[in-house]
Amino acid sequence: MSGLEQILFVGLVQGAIFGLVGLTFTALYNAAKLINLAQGDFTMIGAVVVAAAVASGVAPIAAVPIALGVGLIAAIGFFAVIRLQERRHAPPVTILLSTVGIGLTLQGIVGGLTGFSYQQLSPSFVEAGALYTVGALVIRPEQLLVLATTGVLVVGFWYVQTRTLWGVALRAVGTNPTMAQLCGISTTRMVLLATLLSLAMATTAGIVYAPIIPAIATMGFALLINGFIAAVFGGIGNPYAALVGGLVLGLTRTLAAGYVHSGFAELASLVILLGVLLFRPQGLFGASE
Amino acid sequence: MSTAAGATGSRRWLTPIAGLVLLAGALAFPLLDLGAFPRSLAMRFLIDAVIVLGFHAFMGYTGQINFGVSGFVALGAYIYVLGQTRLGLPYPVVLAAAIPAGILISFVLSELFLRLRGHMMAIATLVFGLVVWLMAGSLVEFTGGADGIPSVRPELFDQRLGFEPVYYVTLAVVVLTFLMVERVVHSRIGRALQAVEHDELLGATVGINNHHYLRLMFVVSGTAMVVGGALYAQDARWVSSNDFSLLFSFDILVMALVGGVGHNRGMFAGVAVMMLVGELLTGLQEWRLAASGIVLLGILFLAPRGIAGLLGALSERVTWLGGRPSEQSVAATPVEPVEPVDWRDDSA
Repeated sequence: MSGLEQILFVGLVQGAIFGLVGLTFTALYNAAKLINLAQGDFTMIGAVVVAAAVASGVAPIAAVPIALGVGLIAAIGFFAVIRLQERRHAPPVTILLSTVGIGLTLQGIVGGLTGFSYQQLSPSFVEAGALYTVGALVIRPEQLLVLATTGVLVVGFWYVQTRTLWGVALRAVGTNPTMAQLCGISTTRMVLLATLLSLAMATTAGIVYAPIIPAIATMGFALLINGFIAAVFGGIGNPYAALVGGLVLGLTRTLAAGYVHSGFAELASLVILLGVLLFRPQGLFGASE
Repeated sequence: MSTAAGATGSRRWLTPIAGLVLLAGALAFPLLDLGAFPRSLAMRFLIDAVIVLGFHAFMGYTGQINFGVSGFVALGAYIYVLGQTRLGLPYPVVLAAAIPAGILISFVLSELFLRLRGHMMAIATLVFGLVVWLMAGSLVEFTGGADGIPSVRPELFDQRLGFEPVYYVTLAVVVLTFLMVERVVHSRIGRALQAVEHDELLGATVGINNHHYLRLMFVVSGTAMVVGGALYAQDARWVSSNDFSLLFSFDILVMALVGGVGHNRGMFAGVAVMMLVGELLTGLQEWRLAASGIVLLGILFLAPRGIAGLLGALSERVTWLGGRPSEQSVAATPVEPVEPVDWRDDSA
C-alpha cells in the first residue's frame, strides 16, 4: 500500500502530536509539581471545538481563536479548582484526583454538547485537498501544519523559558519554590502562568490535530496516555526530551502497526515504556533528580 | 492518624457495635429475599469492597500507590474462568487457587516495582495494568479478547449453586480481607509501616527493613486484588478484556479516596457512596459523565481526606463540645504550615 517513507512520515506527524502533549505535561509538572491527568482533555477541547465550529459554519480562521478561548476559560477553571484544593492543604493524591474530576467534567460538557459524536473537520481547514509529493512520499498540508506548529511552539517555549525574565522566574519556582519566594517571585502567579502556557499549548496541539483525525469528546484519554509515555520515555524534567520521546513513540507505533499488526502498536510502546521505567526511571535524557 | 481508634469514653464501643450490626445485616440480607436487583447490587458491593480493601492495604499504609489494579483483577478473573474452562478444575479449587496464584504474581511483581517510589511507581504499575489489558485483548484465542468469554456459574458436585452460598463465600472473603488488613496495621508491622510511610531513611536508621515491609503489603494488597478478580468473574456473565481498562483502576482509586486514605473501615463507605452516585447518575444519559466529574470534584472539595477523614473531624468537634479531646485527635490536629513556605508540598 504505502512504502516505508510514508509510514515513517505518518509516524513523525503522530509523534509530533504526542510529543507536544508530553511537552505541555512536563512543562506543568516542572513548574508546579502537578501531574495533570486532564492534559489530554485540553487537546481534545482544541480539536473538538475547532471541528464543531467549522461544521456549524464558522470560518476556519475564526474557529481557531474560539477554540483557544474555550481552552483558556477551561484552563482558568482548572487553576481555580487546583488552587482551592492547595489552599486547604489537600493531600497530593486528592489534588491528582481533582485533575481527573476536571477532565471528566470537561469531557462530559463537551460530549453533552456534541452528543459524543465524531466531529470531522474537512481538510479544507488548511487548503482544499492540496497534496505535495516528494518522490514516493505524499505530504498533505495539514501534516505540514502539525510539524510547523510543533516547531514554532517548541522554539517559542524554549525562548520564553530561557530568554525572558518570566521564564527564569518560572524555572526558579519549579526548582525551589521557597527560594524563589524569598527572591520576591510570586509562586501563585508563576503557577498560573505555567498552567495557562501549558494548557494553551495543549489546546493548540488539538487544533492542528483536528484536520488529521475525527475528534470526539473521549479522545483525551488516549492522548494523555501517549503524551505521558512520550514524557516519561524522554525523561520527566526535560520538556524537550518529551518531543524526542514522542517521535520515537510515533515511529514505533506506525512501524509496528504497518509491519506487524495494528493491535501490536500499543503493546510495543507500553512494553518499551515499562522497560525504561524499571531500568532507567529518569528517562532516556532525564537528569537524575 | 486513625481517629476512630482514638475515640474516648462510651464512643470507644461505638465502632465495634456498628461493625457487628452491619455484619449481622449482611448475614441476614439473603433471608430478606428482596429480589434480583438489590441482590446484584449487594454482590457488586462485596466484590468492589474486596478489591478496594486490597488496593488500599498498600496505598493507605505505605504512602506508595500500586495503580495496576485492573491488571491484578484481570489476572484473577482469567484464573477463575480459564482455570475452569481450559483446565477443567472444579469451582472451589479455582477459587482457592486464586490465593497462591495472587501471592506468586504479587511477589514477582514486587521485585520489579519496589525498585521505584512515588510517582514513578504509580506510573509503572499503571503501565502494567495497561499491558495486561492489551494482552488480554490481543490473545483472542485464549481470553476471548474484547468480545469476551462466558463466565462459569459456580457449581459443586454438578449442582449449580444458588445465590446464598455464593453470597456467603464472597462475604467471608470481604470479612477476612478486612480483618487481615486490620490485624496487620494494628500490630508491630503497622508501626514499622508508619515509619516507612513517613521517612524511609529514618526507618532504616532505627533498624527497620523497609523493603521487607513494603513487599509484605504489596503482596497482601495484590493477593486481595487477584482474589477480588476471581470473585468479579464469578459474578459476571461475560468476562471481556475491556472490563479491565484503566477506568477500572480509576473507579477503585476514587472509591478508596472517597472512603478516606489510611482508614481501612472507610473503604466500605467509599464503595457504598460511589455505587450510590453511579446508580443515581444513570438516569442522566449523555450528561452523566459531566455530572460524575462535578460530583467527584464536589466530594473532593467537601471531604479532601475522604468520608473517614470527614467523620474524624466531626467527631473531634463533638468531643471538644462534650469534654476532653482524645489523645490521638490532638496528635492528628494538623499544624498549620507557614503559608508561603509550605504551600506546595512535594511529599507525594
